[in-house]
Amino acid sequence: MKAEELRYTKDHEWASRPQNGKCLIGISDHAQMELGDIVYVEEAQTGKAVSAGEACSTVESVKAASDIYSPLSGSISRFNSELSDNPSLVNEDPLGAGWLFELERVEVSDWDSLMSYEDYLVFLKSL
Amino acid sequence: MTMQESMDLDESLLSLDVSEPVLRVYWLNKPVLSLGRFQKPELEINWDCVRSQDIECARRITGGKALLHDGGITYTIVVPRNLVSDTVSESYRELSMPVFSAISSLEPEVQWPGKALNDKEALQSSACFAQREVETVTYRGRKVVGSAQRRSRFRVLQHGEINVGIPSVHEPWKLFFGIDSQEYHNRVGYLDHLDRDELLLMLKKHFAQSFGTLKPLFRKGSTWNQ
Repeated sequence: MKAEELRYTKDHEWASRPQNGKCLIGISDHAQMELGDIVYVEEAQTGKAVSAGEACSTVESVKAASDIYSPLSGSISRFNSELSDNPSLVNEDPLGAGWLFELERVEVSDWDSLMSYEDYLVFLKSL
Repeated sequence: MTMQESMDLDESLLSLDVSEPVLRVYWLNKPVLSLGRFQKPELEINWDCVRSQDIECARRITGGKALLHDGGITYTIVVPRNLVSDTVSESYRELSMPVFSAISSLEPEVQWPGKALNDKEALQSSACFAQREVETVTYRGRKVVGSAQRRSRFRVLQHGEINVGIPSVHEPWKLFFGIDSQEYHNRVGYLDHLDRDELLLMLKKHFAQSFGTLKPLFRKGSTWNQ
């Protein structure tokens, strides 16, 4: 996916544009660089209803474990099982093959309210 | 308080949104094996050996490998995220620096990043102290500090163990699959000549120098030891 097509949070997660109420969630390129080599991704709990901003997974990089927050409210419908065997996908392709989980029952209006890529770049410069 | 309750306390400190750094320093009356948050102990730990020596177990909120707390000092530092760098590697270094400074003020021979006595490639072991990472603190080539970090939205926690006491566990390498006596002795070090109370004061001093106002908590095993 192209960075420009995604929406972002201040916690450095991204969400793809919802289609039929479903979207993919991952972490930004900036976030994966901050974390360093990722060695484990905790499986997000499929079927669990989550609120925007709620911690729903953890990624472990060398020397640190970091919470992952859902950018949107919805229900976790799928975990990227490829990460179980190959967590480094998050480093290699954070906006593509390294997506973390899928949300369903997502409102497009909620997605619209997240930061655009341009806004996210401005936010990064402010850090 | 059990070690698991202590880990739960660490987790609660992490979830607070306050601006004041917190330092906990304590030691335990009996050995405890703490397991990494995502570790699969059934594959990595010899439970028969753990049970036969009546070793308490706890699950950490941080990742990494199993860590044997055996006579050493355990510390936890929790700081607001804006007090450390954004990257894991930089913030890990910043939170490790006071620990290294405290130890090296009492034992100038410690090295950080350490140089291994046994210069083989990094060993992938189920035992934290047998791992050799870039940021390892060593004494005469052996690892003497094991630590790990947990990050939430507001705060960064780093906790670890400093091997300063005299170990009591018999043949500790047998707790872990995949490491023998010689490998364990080559990699795991002890600063058993240091005075624990002096080190406590040095930790307090160096963390305060780095992070300002702190409310240190000194604790011994299941009873408070102010």
